[in-house]
Amino acid sequence: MQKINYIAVILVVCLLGSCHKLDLAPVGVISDENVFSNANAVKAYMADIYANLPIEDFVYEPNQGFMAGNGGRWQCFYHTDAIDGEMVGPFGGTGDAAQGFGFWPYDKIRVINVLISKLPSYASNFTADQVNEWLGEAYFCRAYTYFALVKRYGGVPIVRTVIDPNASAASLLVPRDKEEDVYNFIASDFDSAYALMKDPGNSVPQGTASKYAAPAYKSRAMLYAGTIARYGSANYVDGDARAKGFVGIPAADANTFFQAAYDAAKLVEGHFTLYTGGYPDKQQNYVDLFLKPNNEDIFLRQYTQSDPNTGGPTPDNGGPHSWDATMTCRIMTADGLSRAYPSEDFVERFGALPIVNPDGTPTRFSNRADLMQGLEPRLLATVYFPGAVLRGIPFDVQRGIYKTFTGSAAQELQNNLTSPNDVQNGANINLWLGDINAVVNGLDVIGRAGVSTNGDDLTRTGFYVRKYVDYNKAASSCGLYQSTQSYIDMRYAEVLLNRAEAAMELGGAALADALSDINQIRDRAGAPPATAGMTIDTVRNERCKELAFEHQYWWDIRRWRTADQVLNNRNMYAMLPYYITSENKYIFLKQLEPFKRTYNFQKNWYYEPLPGGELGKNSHLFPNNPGY
Amino acid sequence: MKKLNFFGRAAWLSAILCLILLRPLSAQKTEGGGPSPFKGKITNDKGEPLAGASVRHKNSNKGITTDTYGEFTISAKPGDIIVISFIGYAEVSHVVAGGENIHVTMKPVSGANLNDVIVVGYGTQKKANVLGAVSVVKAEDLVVTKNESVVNMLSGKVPGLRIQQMSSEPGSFNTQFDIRGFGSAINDASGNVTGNPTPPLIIIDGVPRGSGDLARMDPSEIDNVSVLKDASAAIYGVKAANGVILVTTKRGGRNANGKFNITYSVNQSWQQFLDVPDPVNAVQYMELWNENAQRNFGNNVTGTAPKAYSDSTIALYASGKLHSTNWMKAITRPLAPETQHNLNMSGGNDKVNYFFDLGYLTQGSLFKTNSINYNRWNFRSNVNVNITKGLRGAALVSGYTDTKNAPNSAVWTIFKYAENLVPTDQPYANNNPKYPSLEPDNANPVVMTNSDIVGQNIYKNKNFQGQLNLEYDIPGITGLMAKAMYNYGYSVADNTIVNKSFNLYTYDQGTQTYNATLVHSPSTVQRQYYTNTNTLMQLSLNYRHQFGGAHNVTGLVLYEEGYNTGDNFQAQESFSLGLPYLFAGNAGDANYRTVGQDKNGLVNLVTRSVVGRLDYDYRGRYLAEFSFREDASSKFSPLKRWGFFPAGLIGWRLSNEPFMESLIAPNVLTNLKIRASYGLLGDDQALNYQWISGYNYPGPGAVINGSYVSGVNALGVPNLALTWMQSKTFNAGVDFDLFNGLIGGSFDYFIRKRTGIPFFPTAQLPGTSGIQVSQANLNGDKTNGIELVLTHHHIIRKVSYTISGNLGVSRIKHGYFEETRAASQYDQYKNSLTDRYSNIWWGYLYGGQFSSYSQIYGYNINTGAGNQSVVPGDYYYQDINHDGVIDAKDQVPIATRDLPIVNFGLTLGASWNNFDISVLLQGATDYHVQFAEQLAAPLQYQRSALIEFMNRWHTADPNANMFDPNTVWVSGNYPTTGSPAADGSKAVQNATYMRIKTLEIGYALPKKLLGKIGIQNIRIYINSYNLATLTGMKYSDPEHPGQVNNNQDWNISQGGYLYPLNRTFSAGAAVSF
Repeated sequence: MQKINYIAVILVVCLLGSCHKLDLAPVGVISDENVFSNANAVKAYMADIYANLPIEDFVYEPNQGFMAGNGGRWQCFYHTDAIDGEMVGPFGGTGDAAQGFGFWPYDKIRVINVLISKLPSYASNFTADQVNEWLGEAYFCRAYTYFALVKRYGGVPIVRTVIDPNASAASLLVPRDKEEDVYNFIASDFDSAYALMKDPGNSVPQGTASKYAAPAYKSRAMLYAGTIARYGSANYVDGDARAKGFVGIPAADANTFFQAAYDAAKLVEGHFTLYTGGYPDKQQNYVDLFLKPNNEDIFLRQYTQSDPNTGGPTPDNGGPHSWDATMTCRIMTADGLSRAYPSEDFVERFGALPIVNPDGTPTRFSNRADLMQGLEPRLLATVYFPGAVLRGIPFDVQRGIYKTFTGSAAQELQNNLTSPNDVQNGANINLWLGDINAVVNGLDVIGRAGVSTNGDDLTRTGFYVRKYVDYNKAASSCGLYQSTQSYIDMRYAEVLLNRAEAAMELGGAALADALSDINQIRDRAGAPPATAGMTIDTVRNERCKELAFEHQYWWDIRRWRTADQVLNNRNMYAMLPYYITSENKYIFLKQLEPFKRTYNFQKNWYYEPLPGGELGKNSHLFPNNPGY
Repeated sequence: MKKLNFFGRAAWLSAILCLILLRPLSAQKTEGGGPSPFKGKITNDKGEPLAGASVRHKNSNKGITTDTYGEFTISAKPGDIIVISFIGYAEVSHVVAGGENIHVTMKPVSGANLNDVIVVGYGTQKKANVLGAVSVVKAEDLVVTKNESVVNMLSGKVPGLRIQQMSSEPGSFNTQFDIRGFGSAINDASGNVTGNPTPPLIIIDGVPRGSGDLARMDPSEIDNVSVLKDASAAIYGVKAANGVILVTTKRGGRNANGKFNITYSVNQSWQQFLDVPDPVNAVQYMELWNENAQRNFGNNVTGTAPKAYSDSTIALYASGKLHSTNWMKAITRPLAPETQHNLNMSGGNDKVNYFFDLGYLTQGSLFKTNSINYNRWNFRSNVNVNITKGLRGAALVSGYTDTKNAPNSAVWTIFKYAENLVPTDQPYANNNPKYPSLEPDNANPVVMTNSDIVGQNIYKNKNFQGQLNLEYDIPGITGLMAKAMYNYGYSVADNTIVNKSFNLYTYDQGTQTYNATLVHSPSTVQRQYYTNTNTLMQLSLNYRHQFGGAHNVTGLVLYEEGYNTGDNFQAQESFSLGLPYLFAGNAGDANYRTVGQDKNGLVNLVTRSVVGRLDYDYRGRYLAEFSFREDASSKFSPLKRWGFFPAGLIGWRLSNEPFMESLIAPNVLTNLKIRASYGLLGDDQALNYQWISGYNYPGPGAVINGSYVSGVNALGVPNLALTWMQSKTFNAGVDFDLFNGLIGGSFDYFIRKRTGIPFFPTAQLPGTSGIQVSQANLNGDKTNGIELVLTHHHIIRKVSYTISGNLGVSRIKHGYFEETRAASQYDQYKNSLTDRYSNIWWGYLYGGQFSSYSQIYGYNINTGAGNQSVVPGDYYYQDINHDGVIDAKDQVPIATRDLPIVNFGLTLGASWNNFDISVLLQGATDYHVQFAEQLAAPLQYQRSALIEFMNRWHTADPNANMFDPNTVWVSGNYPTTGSPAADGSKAVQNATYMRIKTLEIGYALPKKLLGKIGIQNIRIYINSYNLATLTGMKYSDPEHPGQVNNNQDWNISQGGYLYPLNRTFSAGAAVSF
């Protein structure tokens, strides 16, 4: 009997600890119904869409794509403008990134299509305004994503519906649409977004689309279509894809698109203004434009230190970036290194620098900083010049030391600056070039901020990027993954530039409007006003100056079809300071950047090749773009 | 519907078993009369009872086993001969005189013993009767290797168990292992291996556990390890496809005088690195740097490349005026200690047997700061109780707790920077130890290895296992026993991660000031807490009986239910008061406050299984076994919830055939058995609730209005049909023993086919559909290979010795592989995987090194850029397609990647009087590695180099122009600095190796001396782990991982910067009281 008791007790214990049901649901799964029935869940759904929106922000790399997670979030110097010569830096040349990275975000488009098709049937759970706002945002994001596709590939398949996974294999082989049709589709989606969303008044949510963001982006997209129609009809590589309209837009349609761009830009007027909150100091005002939330911002991507996903298995784009650490040099920051530097070619868009006297000799400066006197405030707010100060530390940029300097700059450059950099050898050396630790007679041969050819980490052009660099932060907070300033993807200045360019292209009565648009920009920049005789080049140059380092120039020279001329065996220039000991003065020499990288653009790169793997899966995507 | 099927099948099988179980009732009645029960007791030569010894009638083979006290009761009549046998002891025959209780003392024998009892799935079998490919490692063979990880101790001892130790970093237990290559990682769409190999299923005392638990066991608590490699593992069903390792812990024995045996042992080791890269000194660095600058072709064109370091600068270091830094020596020390203590108690009486184990391990690191260190406590208490007659219970309680301390710097970065920082830099600014110097990337290894500066990470694990067993001999049916088992397991991982900000300095000679720069900020403390609870319940009926004196039947039906639940959370605060606790954070620094949960650590899983096995043998000649398992898991969709995994094994013991005995005398051919097995096994590890539709939360999100909003993301189109991959295993083998164990061996051949390997079917689905797919059971593969074991045991005079060699070969081939249609025939040749061998390494075939400019000028194959920049010493490769250009089309398969294809081990043991020696040689071939980063080329990241790159082609006069055809060159292993690094078959090295894994020499103090002071035994020994390695590899240990495949988990090799392997020298002693 006792035995039975033992057994019974033990069996009861065993069974108590057991008897679990097999129907266990995994933790953290939300059902389809719940996602569209609850406002917070739809918000989360929208957050996913925004997280994946192809915004070319601080961490976008033209050869790698949209970098989520810590692996890519520190290499901000792999910047689009480092392949087109606005900056020189980590790329060996334009070809390193000109053919893209196989961008094909139809999975993200599907996520948007699901919302557009499903949300209406759950509309009773919300107010009509709320539903329309979300649908409007969805149309905005869809147009945004297709624009990211069309500017790379030309015509791509337009998928408007949620494709059934059980559909026949043949019906999954969606063919390409014409480039023009894609632009028209984008326009209609932006129009839908505009129509659906409510006027936000003064409260514009940051990090999401709003009613007037739609026409702002429409003006950008239509301007692209217009210029491709006009200039792509003159400068192209021929091929099947072009013959079938998959790439290229008939020239006859140019004005229709320019008019659409102009009209869209005009629609935005009155809802945003150029930032002038920092007046009267126009330089400081322009610096703060990129660091302080203001009413010029139309669409932002924001970042936070406390994004839980940044380092996780499914990283997103909300975590901190590394702009501060990777745009200026180590002495002003806590970690990381700079690798991309504004070229002298870019700086000269604002006019030649006064570094050579009329007689050809280099101008002598008592201080490096003196060069900055009288330059355009916007330039000084965009680029750190030698002698500028950040966080109390000057950019003591210097390429080397001359004992004495005689003759002209041109002569010296012809001599190829041949003096060896050895500080130990011989007394007859006139020029010392050296590494960061080299000292000659107690003087640093180069400053702690560069210029160096020993590695990539100090400027090689004499300049550093200033736009977006947060001067308010302590150096110790400027390590990798510590920057959280927002990326401004669309600001009112661009809308004005889109409007001016469209107006110039339309000509006639619109020209006056173009002039006034440009002069609003120039006034805020602290630049002298343009005059009535301005040309399309004036407008384009203004665009390059205003939108420098904002991932625009690369796309602009492609749509203008000028890239193959602008980047034709091109070397970029530097403006390098030297110290002359005998005179205790500085001079600046304009010379080739010391790495002598060459930039070339092949005409077939006006379109990227369709992703190879997709061609293998869908024969209807052929023909590939010309030249591939 | 499916459930019904299951119950139908289970009922059907139970019915058969019941029929078998019921038979003996009637059988017993018919025997009647004559025999009467008599009792016996069996002990070994030390008087310790032998539990589980086999007692049988000589002619009928009808037998039983002894209980935990070594006692038995058997029916016999006078004149009957009963045969008693037990693992490792000589068989004893006893003629029953009648009416007496006998006491048999068995004498141990060495060498193979066919009566050894081997642990197999849910039971034990006599070695002679084992039909599967099962290998066993006994405790004494295990512990001869001294290491902190039990997995490493198994290396070279089991044929087919492939073990690669990746690192000896204390507390990392970074060893990859699999059985016969079965756990090989799954290839992704590009054919790249993704993820790590899956280890086999590990069962410790009947409970599924993790490979980390196995590694962390105290070796002295292990009694034996069984490795099931074929269909014999099928009894573990859906988790068995990669084989099973069964670990059984020690049980207490009964002492004649009821006394405890107490053994204390200590092992003191000194570790040293097997191979640690050696950086160049400043003079060498500057020489290479200047050479590199000259080699840079762009500089040559302008003809103006100045030397970065002048002769006079070099002279400053050469003369010793300035000191060069060896960063590796700055942070490492030649020897680091490792100590193990162990206390064992075992003993008991008629009622209770007891085994108690307490172990302690502490391991230091080879960093000067010892900032990585590890310690572990293990305990185990195994109690067996005879509750009443026929009712036995056992309580097994065990646990471990360990702590790994590490600095808040990734170990691989420490090695990376120690290898590549330039030797002209100094660890301290102005050589003042108060001011660590600022180095590139803020990476100063002297600081990185100092937890006081960078912050200390503490990783703690606690694991508890409690198990209750009950066995009941069901009265009335001889041989029928009911068993119940319940195990409760609980584990905790409790981590503290402190990130401290600190200053690095530069010294300004001019102003004589130190410029501080604050890095590694902000200071934060993070706590992570993971818990996991596992319960396992088993109820079973076991039956063993002999019918008609010839038909031996063993049966088992078992019901098992497991429940696994895991939870975790983590939180981070700013680290402001210097205390590693959350409360001490500054509440104002909310910016760095995070709270989170690792969704992968949230587990909620139920499994249910019904297991059955039936063994049959006829007079030990014809053997057959059938097993099945019906597995259900909440992981699977209701459509695919239950899986049935049958296996069949057959064998023929020719040596027991009378005709064979007449042909070859049994003392010549002691044993000859041929056997075969076939079974279906499953593998569910890749599955992850992909049959559920809906949305995952939280997913990647966005910052909206300044605050973070988590996203939801669709789980993908559910695949309700997704199920475990199926693995069909065939094994054929032969076992033989000659001259009573003088020579023995076995040979196995196996084929394992997998189908339904889960894979995302995106390769043929156009991206425009945007459909996020779930995995589907798409791909297949096939693994085959052989295993061979040969043993020789002999005693010559007083010297007893054993030689045992084993060899395992395994190769994997893809079956169907879902892939995108190839764009060309070449693409098909190059990239298609279907029906191809896996783990293929593509590359150029090495041609040689250019030895002169005349050779270069005469070379009409373009190696790139028209050979304009080629200099003597550069490598050239074969133009396979003869198109005059070396490009990707010249790549061919050159080697196999990952774990070695051929693994072998050789154990040599000998004893003479009180001395004993054992040697374990372990090695592998058909094994290749490629170096990465610093080991692949000098001046990586424009920093320093390793010493081997001094042996290179260079101009005899360092100032000579290397592009001048008249320049005199000195040849070397490597091309000149700045030339392209090795590629293809030059870079992929044959890593074949054989090493002395273990060498132990022991001496047992004479018992005469010890008896007087009350000590039974003292054995002292010296031992070495990884004493010497024979390999063609240079500059790295062959097991140290180099470069991984593209897309393969980078962490496998961490850029080649893993903490190196170690060699240890140990001395130890064991004292028994």
